[in-house]
Amino acid sequence: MTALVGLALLLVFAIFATLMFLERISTLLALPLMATLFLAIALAADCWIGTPPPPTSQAAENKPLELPSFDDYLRARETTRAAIAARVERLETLTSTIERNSDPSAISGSLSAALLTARNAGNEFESVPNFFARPPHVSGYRASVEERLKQLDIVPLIESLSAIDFQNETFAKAELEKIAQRARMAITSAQPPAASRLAAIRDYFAGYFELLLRGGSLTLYATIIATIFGGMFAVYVKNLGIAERVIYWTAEFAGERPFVIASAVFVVTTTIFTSVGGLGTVIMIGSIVLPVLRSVGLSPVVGAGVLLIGIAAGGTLNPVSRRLWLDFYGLSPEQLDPLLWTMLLIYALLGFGWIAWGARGGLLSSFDSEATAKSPPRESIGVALLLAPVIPVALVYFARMEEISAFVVSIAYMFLCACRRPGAVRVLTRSMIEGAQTVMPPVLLMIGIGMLVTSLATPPVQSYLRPLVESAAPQGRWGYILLFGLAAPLALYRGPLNVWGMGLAVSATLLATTPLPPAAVLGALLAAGMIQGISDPTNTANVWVAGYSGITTAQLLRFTIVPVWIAAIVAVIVFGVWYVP
Amino acid sequence: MAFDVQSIFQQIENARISLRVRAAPLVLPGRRLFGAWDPLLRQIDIFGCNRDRSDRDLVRTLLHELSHARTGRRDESEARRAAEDQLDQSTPHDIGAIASRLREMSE
Repeated sequence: MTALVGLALLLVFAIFATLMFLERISTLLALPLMATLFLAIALAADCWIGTPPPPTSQAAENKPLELPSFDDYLRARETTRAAIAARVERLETLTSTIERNSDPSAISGSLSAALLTARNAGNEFESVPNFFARPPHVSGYRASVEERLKQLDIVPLIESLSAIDFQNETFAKAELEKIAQRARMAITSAQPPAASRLAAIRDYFAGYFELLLRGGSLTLYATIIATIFGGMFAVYVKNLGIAERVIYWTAEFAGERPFVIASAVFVVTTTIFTSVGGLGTVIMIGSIVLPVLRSVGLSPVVGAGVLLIGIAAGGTLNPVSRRLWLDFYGLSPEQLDPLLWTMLLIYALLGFGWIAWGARGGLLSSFDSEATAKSPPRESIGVALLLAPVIPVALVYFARMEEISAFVVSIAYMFLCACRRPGAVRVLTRSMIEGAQTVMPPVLLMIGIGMLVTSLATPPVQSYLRPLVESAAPQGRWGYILLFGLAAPLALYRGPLNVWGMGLAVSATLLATTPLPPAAVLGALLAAGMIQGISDPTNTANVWVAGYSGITTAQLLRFTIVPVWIAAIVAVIVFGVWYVP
Repeated sequence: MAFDVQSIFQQIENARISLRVRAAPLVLPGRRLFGAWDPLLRQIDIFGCNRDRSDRDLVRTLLHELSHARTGRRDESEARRAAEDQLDQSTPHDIGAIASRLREMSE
């Protein structure tokens, strides 16, 4: 039965992957819907079919996970109820001794101690799994019971105890009984209510769906904020005309030699896209770069490739992506940065190899043309401002500044450089608003990714999915290299290894269910991402670049797939050797 | 070498060259393009066929690019000479017919 439920989950995965591949559903909608369906199916199976057997494989032994089930939840409810009932019982026992005891002040001391103890979660809570927990956003079942106990308002009761006049024994006993009665009522109010199985199922679903919707939406909050600041920075760079001027300057100084000019354009494009992104910037840069490359005889396919490899290479170091990898894979900067620099090196080798191939005499275009004057740049921009595109990357990678601060410092730097221009404040304000607007699609995607990751990490989904994924996951270095090297094109057409879609879901599953180190999983995804970033016909950048160059996205795919796939295999081999034992 | 409408388009087809014709000239930094031969895509692009270009100019551009395709060399003066030689051997009727065909193909 466990296998059947697992297969149902994989079927949901396959259906959504197909729908995304066929572009029948947007990734923005598909990811949260998939997360919801995964959770609903697993919870229903958990409640009505029963607990799946614990995993016993090598992978499970390497990465033991507590996977508490619905039955454990029922037991947890009983345990917490019993623990609180014991506190009430202790108070009742004390109350019953009030009448018989001749020393009410001694009872008062015991009562005071019992009240103080009642607030603290005792040892009996330690064995209770904290269901639905995602601190600090969703406290979870056990934590909420503990919180209710901590919030018991016992200070007035203890003050009342100390105010009792013990000279008058009868009055003191009556007061003690009243206080004990109030204390019992207060503690009882912290007790989870007794519930039928159906009510417990309702609470179980509600708890997990609160975790999915709230905890999931907030999972990547740091990345989301970094993305918003990154968007503001990118639009400000665009609105100040910095990137445009850098490209003109490069084209002007690189002369007419195809290899030199293409290499210069590649380096500058990579540099610019380390900090900026989005289709608007691609269009802005592409509409300058592509004619320059065409004018020196590069085929439109080669020119488009130079631009797309540069964009993908720059994106590797993008601080926003870096923040996502840090948060999502739980890597430290010391672990992540060498991996990203290695990717950049592989992209550089690919880019220069591509240019060397495309700039050979035999592949250069011949023209029937007449000379015209070169159009001058729009306005002059100081050298200080021209450095702006590299500042966030320099701050993040070399000054070890975190991403949001790096973007804020860079924006402030650009404003100081441009503040004497007319309307400088207006341009800054407009850029901030436009920047926040332009990153809304990736922000929504990140919310969906957070939900999917949360759903996949819940014990019910893990219990059913883990055995199946374990059986398909690569075992050892060569399995890793073979699987991810050959499967890299599955990143195309929004496929299962797409970095910004199903790939993260696959990663989350692999991280949670296999002994592969997070760096190896990320490395495999980034390697596949090379094919997606450069060759994928469903990329909006590819669609624009192909259309502007007068070629088709299919031609672009046909010419780039082999060299990019080879580069991806090289990356997988490097990461396999480094990270997989 | 004299040629006619049928033979020139047949040559292009036999050589598996794709021919695309654009109405507007392609303006690049420092130059205005009327024709381009791309050996990688095996494609000839003709630009500006509806913009003040005579039939003779249009056919010259096609012959120019075909010369590149045939020889595989990027020597512009050689291609220009080859195109002029072929034009001189052709009748105004053939030139007009080829130009009309090109204008019909324009995207």
